[in-house]
Amino acid sequence: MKALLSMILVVVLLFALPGSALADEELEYTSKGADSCLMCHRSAKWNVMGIFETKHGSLTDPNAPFSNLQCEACHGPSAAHMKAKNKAENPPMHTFADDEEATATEQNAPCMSCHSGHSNIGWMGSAHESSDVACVSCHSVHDAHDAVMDPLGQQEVCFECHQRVRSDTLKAHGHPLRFGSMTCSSCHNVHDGNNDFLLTEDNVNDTCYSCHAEKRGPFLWEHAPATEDCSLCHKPHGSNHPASLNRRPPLLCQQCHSAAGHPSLAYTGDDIGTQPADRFLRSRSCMSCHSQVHGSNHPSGSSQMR
Amino acid sequence: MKRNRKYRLQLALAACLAIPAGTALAADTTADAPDTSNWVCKFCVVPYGWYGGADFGLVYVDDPTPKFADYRGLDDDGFTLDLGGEGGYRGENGHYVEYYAKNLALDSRILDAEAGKQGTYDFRGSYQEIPRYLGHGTMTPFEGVGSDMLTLPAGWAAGGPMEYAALESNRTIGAAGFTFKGLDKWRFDVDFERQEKDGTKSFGGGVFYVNAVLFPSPLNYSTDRFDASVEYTGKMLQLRAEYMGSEFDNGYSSVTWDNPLALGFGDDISRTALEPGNEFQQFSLVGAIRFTDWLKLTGKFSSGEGKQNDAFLPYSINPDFADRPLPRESLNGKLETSMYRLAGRLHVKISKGLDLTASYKASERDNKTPIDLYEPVMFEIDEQGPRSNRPYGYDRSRGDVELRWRASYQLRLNAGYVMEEIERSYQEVLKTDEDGYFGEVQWTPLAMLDMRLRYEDLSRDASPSEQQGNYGRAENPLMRKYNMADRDRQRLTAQLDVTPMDRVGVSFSVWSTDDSYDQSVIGLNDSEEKAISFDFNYLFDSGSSIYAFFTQETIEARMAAANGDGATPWNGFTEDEILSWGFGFSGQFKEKWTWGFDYVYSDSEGDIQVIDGGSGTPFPTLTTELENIRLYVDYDVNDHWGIGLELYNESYDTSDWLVDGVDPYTIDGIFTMGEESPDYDVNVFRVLARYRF
Repeated sequence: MKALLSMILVVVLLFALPGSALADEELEYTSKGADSCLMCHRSAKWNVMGIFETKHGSLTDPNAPFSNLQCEACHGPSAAHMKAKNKAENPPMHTFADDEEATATEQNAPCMSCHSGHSNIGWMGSAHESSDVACVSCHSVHDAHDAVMDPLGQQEVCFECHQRVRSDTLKAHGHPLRFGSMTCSSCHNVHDGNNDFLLTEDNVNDTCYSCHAEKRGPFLWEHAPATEDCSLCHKPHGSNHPASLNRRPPLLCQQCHSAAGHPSLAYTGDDIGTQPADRFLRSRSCMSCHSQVHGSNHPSGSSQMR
Repeated sequence: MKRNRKYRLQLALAACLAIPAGTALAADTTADAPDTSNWVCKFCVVPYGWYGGADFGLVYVDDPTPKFADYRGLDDDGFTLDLGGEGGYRGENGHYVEYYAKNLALDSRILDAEAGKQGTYDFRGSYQEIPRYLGHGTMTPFEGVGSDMLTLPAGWAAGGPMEYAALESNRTIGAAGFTFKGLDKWRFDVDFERQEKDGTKSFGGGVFYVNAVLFPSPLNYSTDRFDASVEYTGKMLQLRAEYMGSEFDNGYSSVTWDNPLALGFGDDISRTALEPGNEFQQFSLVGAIRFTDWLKLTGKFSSGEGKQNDAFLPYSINPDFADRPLPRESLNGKLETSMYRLAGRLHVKISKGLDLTASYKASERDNKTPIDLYEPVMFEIDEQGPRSNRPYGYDRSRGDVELRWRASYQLRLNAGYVMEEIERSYQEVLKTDEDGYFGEVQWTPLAMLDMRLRYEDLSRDASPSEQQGNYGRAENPLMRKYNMADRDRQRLTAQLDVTPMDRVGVSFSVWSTDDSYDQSVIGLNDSEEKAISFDFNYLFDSGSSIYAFFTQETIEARMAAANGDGATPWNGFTEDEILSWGFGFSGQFKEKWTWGFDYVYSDSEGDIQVIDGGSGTPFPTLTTELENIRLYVDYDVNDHWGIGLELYNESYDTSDWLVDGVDPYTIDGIFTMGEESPDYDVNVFRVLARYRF
């Protein structure tokens, strides 16, 4: 309550105090809009004409840039650039180039002026926003086919930064990203920081339940880590171990289960092929008996066996 | 401590709002609205009409195995039809159609379509199948595979005949949705999705005593999901209210099976419960408000409810326990979930810029499932002492404060504080607190060179460990489960990007996470993950490109356990080493030809060693080797027709001591399905005719 009152107080103070005058800078739009720009930039060298095959290039959608200020809707008033003799030294307001001395936030401003809603509401404070990722770091708005919007092309864009995940997708067990049955955005909303790990749902488990709803429960006999966080046992991007487990059982299970008797016995390489050690080591190991590791609804399933 | 941390974060969030407006104004730029009467846009050439096309041809697969066919759907040896395409329609009045189709003649088919009027409304629909092929040499004597009643043939006895039993499933996902954006600043969405999963999966049923029977268990899942949302998007305020309802139904509530390892004490038949149906619904409110260019807030609130109330099975199928009363006929399980998050961002214009951000997130899983005393019957014959169920619940809070300073275009510095607190119910550790600091430097000394270094140092404290509830077997009192044990974590990330010219990109990355559980005598002691990566790409003048990548990763862990209180602990060590690399080329020549190749290699090794009393023979190394070579050529015959050829080979080789050499009778007391680790070397040839509108 104390903190809440403090917050209310400072918000009131914020609006009670006057701001200083804005330092305005007058800029001028071109006289002919896109025709001014495309006079030079329509050649293949600039690779911009693909935009007319995208929704940005629509001349009928009143919200599309080309139904409004055309090129300058994103690049800003560009009359000075057009009139300049040395155009490289007088670039438009926003070039979106890698070496543009603008912060990612400044580069993203033209995009966010239209795309601040829907999946982008939670952009501010998200991991990507915090890491200074610009919209153009992933999106190619002049291309007829923006690779990141393509089911197969998307992961290649993501892998440019998330290189370790590409390695994960090549492991023996994992989700089918390399087959195109899933994409990164099947689980991640990369624009929304409200959810954990930029996921599509509030947290890891709710995201997993989107496809694995049978594990949602609640069950009569719950397995605590399964209710807490699926990633305590699984590596969702890929693993060396079946079911994308973090480690092989029995050691995976023995990290947490130490009751006297078979759960806490040490099995070494010498035990392979010996009885009764094999029954705890091989085939499905612990899960040969304890199959219901995600929870059991059988009144006799307290040991996650039924 | 908890209150102090929360208070600190809430004050930090408040601080985002606390600086008077006059101290922090970014320079703004304005321009008068232009006179657009001369903006004829004669160079704006929008290609109206139909575009895209369809692909149809044949794919030849040489001797596929289940592992190769897994997810791909290429399970038939020989020729299979290949159909797909991508394209749409663009109308002058804004109407449009888009479609994407892939593998239409295979079990991995995907079809997406969308139509509407841009900026006003759209309809969308999709259909997808995801096939799984998990049985590699699996066999079973059971009859009735695929149903919930598995019986042994009359007169069958151990050592009797068995038949190949494919472990296959198919997930189908059908979805439809509608969006209306015809009102200024408002958007309405409704979506419906139905997922079904049918087939079989491997299941292990425990039988007396520490014995088990593996059999193909039936899958007949369906999940319906409905989403609806209304959204307002203004210049200052964006707000969305959304509802989500999901219902899961299992066509089989249980599976009953003859016990091939029966001892004859009433355990001839056993029955296992399958996943019960459940439902979940959630209401969320998501919003963002931009007070000024330099002060923004965003947040989300969710409230949900989950239920599960399928009828219980009796304690046992054994008629000897038919009169054993259950405390209730069904669980009446109920979860109440909630989440709220608030994040604030303050941008202070000092030199090149200073940002203060703070976020706070709280969530709860309040498990209101009633607690009762049950009297389980193990293996259909063994009466256990009374047990009470433990409906686990969580109360989490997480927050961070970060100061970002863009000292210059060349130098960016970030530093911050993070905390997370989790309260658990019915678990050994009721509360964990974690907090720590992080710092990040991004240095761009030249436009062609960008370096980023981030370091995190976190420390987690756990409340005293005390076993809760009535267990059949008490855990070792020294056990500290790793998700709620004291932990020190150091994490390092470094990345170097070099772009000596526009057409060249080189990237080096290093990751390291080091977790130490110093207070855990029994349990996970430490784990370490390290990876290095290298990426390269080059774009030629002609539009052709080459690329290469390399990643090496090591995952190590050490744990300790002991057979009973006071016993000398033993140690377990695991190490996974993964190497993956690849390269490729794609190019175009003489305008009509496109060609390329890709090579991907991945090699994994998993070593496990358990040392008990000073010695321990390592387990054989787990290995997986994947190699994929792909060549493709496309030729445009004319403006409408083209031909595509693709040839690829994929080889996969695994060695897994858990299953290799284990036939159904190899392990005393475990009746397996004889699964083998998969190996294959498969060639695929694809020829396609492409028609473009």
